[in-house]
Amino acid sequence: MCRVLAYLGSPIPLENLLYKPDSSLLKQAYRPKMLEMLNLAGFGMMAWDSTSYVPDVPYRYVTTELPIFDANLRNLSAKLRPYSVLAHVRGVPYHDQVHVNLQNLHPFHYEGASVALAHNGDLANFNSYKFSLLEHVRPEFRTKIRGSTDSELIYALLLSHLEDPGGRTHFDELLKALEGTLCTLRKVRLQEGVTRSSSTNLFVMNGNMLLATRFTFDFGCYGDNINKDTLRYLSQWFTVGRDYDFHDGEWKMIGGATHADSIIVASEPLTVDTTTWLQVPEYSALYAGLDDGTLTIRTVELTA
Amino acid sequence: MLSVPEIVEFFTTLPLFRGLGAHQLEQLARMVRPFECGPATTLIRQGDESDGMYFIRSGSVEIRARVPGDAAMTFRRYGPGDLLGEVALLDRGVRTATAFTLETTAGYCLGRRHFETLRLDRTPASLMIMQRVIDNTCVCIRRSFELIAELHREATPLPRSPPKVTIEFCEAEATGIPFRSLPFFSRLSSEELQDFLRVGRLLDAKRGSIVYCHGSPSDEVYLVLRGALRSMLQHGQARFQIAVHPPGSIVGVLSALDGQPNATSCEACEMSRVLALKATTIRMLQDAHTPLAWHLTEHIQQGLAHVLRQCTEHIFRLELEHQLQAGGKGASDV
Repeated sequence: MCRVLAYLGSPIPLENLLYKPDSSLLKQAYRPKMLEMLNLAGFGMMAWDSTSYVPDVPYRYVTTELPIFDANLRNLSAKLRPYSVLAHVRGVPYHDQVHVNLQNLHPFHYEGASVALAHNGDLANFNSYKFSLLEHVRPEFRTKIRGSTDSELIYALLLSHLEDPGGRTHFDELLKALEGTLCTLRKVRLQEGVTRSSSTNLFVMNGNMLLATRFTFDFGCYGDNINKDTLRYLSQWFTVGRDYDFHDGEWKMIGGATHADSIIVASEPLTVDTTTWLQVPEYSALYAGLDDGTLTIRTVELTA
Repeated sequence: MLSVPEIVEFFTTLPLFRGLGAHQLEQLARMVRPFECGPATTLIRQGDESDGMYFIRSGSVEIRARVPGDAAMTFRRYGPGDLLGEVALLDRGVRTATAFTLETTAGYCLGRRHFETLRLDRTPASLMIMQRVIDNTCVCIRRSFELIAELHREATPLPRSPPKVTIEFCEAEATGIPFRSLPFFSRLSSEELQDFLRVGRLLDAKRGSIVYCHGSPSDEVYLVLRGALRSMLQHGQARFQIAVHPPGSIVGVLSALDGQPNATSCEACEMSRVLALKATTIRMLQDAHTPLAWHLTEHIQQGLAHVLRQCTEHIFRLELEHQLQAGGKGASDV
């Protein structure tokens, strides 16, 4: 499991998301509040900044080090003010068969593609059916796969379901592609007899739009072992408003929903106090779009 | 300060405690502490752990919640005879909203420690009081369903999958179910577990099949053993997910307890195995005042509290979407 954060809205100091809140994303790497395991297998981030050179192209930063010890990231975070961020701390099982390397770090973004993806979850028995899944990936994306994760294959599948993966993608097309991706995954899992609970919380972004799923295949279905994660739907939270900062002694957005211009979606709230956060419903996707400073959100039940 | 007989007299006026004997009310009266606070006092604070539940004798209280954007949403007023703050006691969670007095308000608080004492002492009187608290929670849930339906009426319904009508169950076996790892079952002794399995029916439900329909009478409740069920609220042709019930959950208790038709439909969102129990069996088990009855009562309380929390989240989310769409029309009351 991992922890993910997506931000869309008015420009924000990066450190307000990664470092400063009492349960900021980087603190969730070693002290998550809603996950039993630690997220020690690296950090990745993509961000869009309208004041940067070629603003439509996001910058990307990845490191396999523990990000909390990364002085470069700390310095950058104090300087950068992106309007859109997709950041991820990677959690993997604690054994030597796992590949901790740069290729496996999220968010995934192939050159020329309009959207990036980060994943929180785990496809059970993935190795037993990854080659069957590959058959559903378009050849031009098969050659781009560099890592060994289920997440990157999901990304390649998603791009394969988009009619124009490099073009400007609208919400309806993206939702359709996402549903198609989940349906393909379900079909292949069924063919291969995989029935164990597999969380697939996806964050898909293009700088002006975010689609975040809270979705689990075969939720509540366990194998020989049953653990707390099987009994709990993997979390996904969001908050909206303006100016996410330290107001009146706490980290929060202000301004109410009627004046909202920003949204944070995260695997868990960035503060221990969760009162100004809401959960994305299970089996659903949350869409957020930013158009001329106007924020639109809607939740959609996934039918996959 | 009022004497115990005076408190008992007040409790006898509450519909919540109608039918309870003098002994039961006296037991409760000895446990509560009176409170009185001036206007604009915070009685309960959202996000705090529960300190108890409050019976309002006089005055009025407004329930407000902080929602994203640090806005306040007002969604109910409580007055004389109302009970508030029981949800966080039932599931040992945190407060979902803030209760704020609108005028000088007085009443009685049953503290968390005393509530837990009632849970533990396992006398018939305590069980009866607990069941009345459950009844009150059922009323709150039905009220929340009505509010959600109303909020959805104002919204443009999104296209949803068409309602399914198949009721598809087949008999199943208990093999392969790790009862000891599941909530509720993990608290039962081997004998209790066997008794429980004997009075229920093990069934498998295919993904997408309907377990019970909206508006149908209820005569069974379901304990999820594997997979998951979900409660859907129906409004016209549109259906809205209210709550997902993971393994260990108990589903369908609302109608089984209050005797009204099912307010929601329930479907298997995954290939699921459930233990079906007749509502009459539940009542029989509860009336037996055995340890099993207590475990079951507590589990029912937690199940209802889960649904009520999900309803509250649903209301907040809908209201938030409305406000975003309204853009600048100001915060609204629901």
